[in-house]
Amino acid sequence: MDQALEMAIVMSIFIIAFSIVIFTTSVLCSYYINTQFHSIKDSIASIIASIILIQNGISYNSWESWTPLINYSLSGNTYHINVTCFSIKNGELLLLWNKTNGIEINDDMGSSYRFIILDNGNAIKLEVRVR
Amino acid sequence: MNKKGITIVYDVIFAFLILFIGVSIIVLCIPYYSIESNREFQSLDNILIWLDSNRILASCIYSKDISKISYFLDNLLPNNGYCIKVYSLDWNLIWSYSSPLFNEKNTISSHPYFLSGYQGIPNPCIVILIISR
Repeated sequence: MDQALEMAIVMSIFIIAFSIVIFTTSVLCSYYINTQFHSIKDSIASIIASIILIQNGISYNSWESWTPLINYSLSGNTYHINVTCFSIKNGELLLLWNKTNGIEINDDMGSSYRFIILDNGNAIKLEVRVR
Repeated sequence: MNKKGITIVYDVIFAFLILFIGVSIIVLCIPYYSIESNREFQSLDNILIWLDSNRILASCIYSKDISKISYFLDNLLPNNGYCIKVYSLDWNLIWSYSSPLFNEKNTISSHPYFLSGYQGIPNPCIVILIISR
């Protein structure tokens, strides 16, 4: 009777421990996959931001005449590109213009951000979001 | 199964349990993005240089004008949280401000910036701008 009771206790402890291990492993795996997925999307957004940056450099005229392209076809993702030009006059922040590719993403999975100082003293805020 | 055998089984199960719980807590508590490559580093540097070259940064930092600096950073940074900390040269915190969305566990980048003084008066301090996801 004693041995049967001990076996039952050992088995129940083992089952509980096994369940906790399985649960913890699944949580860890999903967390790892999720972070890796976000990291890949962040990298894609960073590549797009770098391409735009290489296209325009620090020239104000280049940024002003630039049109955000809709068709950046990279692994079938959707992109939101937002470019804002700022200036500071008399201690006040002025928004000179804003350009976007027209695609709205509410639940982005990756993003990249750049802030560039232009040759005429103005600055550009570039945001790329990927889904 | 004798008493000794059962005790060893208990010990092994208990040790594995502690090991798995410990490992999972460590892995889940490490802020992943803080050990990722610091992609936004240059952008934070550019923001601080730009604000300083337009005489905004020093005036806000030395007069502790939180509303003004937060107005600029709200517009210039992405819609994530940010935090600005001001230290003396011996690394004593003078003041700091965190935006409502700032999450210290999800910090993705930070950048230090040195200010030598304001309006000709030497008063060196270190400004650190931190952004979170």
